[in-house]
Amino acid sequence: MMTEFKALAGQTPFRIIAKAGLSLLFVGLATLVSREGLALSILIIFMGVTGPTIRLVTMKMDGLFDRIIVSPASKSRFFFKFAGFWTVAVLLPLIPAMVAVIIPQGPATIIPIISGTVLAVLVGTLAGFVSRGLSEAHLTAILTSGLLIVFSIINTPVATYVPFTALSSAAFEPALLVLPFILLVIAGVTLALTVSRS
Amino acid sequence: MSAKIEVRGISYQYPGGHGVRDISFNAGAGEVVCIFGWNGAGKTTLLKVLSTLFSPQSGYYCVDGFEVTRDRESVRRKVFPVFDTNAHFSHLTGRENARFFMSLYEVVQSGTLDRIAENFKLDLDRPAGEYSLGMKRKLMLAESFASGRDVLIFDEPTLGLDSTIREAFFSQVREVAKRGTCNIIGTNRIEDAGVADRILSLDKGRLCQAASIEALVARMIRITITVEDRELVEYIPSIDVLPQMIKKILSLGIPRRIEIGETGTEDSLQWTEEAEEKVRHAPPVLQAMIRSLVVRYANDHGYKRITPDVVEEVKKRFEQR
Repeated sequence: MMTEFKALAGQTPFRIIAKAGLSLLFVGLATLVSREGLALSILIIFMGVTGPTIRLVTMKMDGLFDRIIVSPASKSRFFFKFAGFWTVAVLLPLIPAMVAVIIPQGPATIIPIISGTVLAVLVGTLAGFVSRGLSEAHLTAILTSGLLIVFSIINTPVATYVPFTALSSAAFEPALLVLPFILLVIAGVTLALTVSRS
Repeated sequence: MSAKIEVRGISYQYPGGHGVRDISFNAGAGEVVCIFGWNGAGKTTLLKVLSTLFSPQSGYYCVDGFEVTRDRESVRRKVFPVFDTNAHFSHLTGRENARFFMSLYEVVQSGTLDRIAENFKLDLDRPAGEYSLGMKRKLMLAESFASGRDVLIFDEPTLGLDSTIREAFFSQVREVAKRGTCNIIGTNRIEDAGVADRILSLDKGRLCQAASIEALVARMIRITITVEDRELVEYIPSIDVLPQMIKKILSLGIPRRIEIGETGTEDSLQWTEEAEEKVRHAPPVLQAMIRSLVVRYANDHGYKRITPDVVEEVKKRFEQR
């Protein structure tokens, strides 16, 4: 399991420390204007979507992706495992920033943080899977992240289903936390269906 | 272990029309089959179809009774492909890479990998990012043998390997073949083809049976490169490839002599003193090659004597290429 994690989502200690420091600074600055939830959402979306997207595309360019595809391993299981590793890889350096958000907003905030990370990583994995080159991957990642951020901020009917709304909204309602899981299930099923044909 | 491959009329073509067409052959358990073809002949495409990376657009491909379009996962359980890319995670050691890929094939690492790595003189505990091209190749090959699959597919397996490791590779192929593994080797090296039980020649996307290595060699041009006291032999499909070949040789260093055709064969044509003089103006390393080219050209065009004009014609043609 450790080898797989290291292979697919491994981060160097320097990277983890750098990300932790920068994310804490970003969220800390947002705390001054009481927008720490929104700042954390933006970080999770960017890191969660771009990380797995770019990793999968570089694996394609290196020929690693082809080796995985032609192996007898279950592709759905493999890509869910990949998403799981990336969820850990995204959350790990964000721990200090998460603490900075959970303290003022309450422990229930952990639910949108984790479900939001899972959603961002699932979307990122899907984007990486369908992207054919690095420029396409960057474009897909930026578009997806942008859409997620927009839907988290603007008050539309979709916003209720986006986990980050609960995190960034001033009026935080724990009862509404169930709804974002519908979006998570949709993302998971879409990923499973897409990869199973490879 | 007893796997066999059955291929009937498979085709795979890229949008531009390149690819492979109407390929049919069988390969049995314990066999070493070589798919021989020059660059662009379609070897890699065919091997990608056999590896299940590409789905055949038509035809029938079956491994041990499992047809690829109906039961691709069962085919994948039987096959281990070695692509020409040497793909590994550069931040992991050779051993960790092997562990990762073996886990995809549900193979628990045993002493087999260490034994093969030892045969290949490969240090598994170094990061793969520090490996040379040849070492990456060795790791791929070691993984394939340690995978214990029924069918091993190799695309240019000896790329970047020195002659000792090349021999170790083929001896390993023979060892797994004895245990019933079916081995498919795609190559453009005549000496690799010579090791196979059967050679299938691929040309412009079509496959034809080659009777023997001799039949294959007869259709090629032999180039002998003398470096210090050693003679290296390469084969090329046509004289058109010669300038590229010479460029490649000279980029690696200046050899003592380059000859075309069988070495030491005397030509029966009569050379004028002026023609001889013209050849002597060329760099010494190329003089033997130029002589052979001129003789070949003169024979093909029915010249009885070699004059400076004949040498000039050959020179012009060579420069055009």
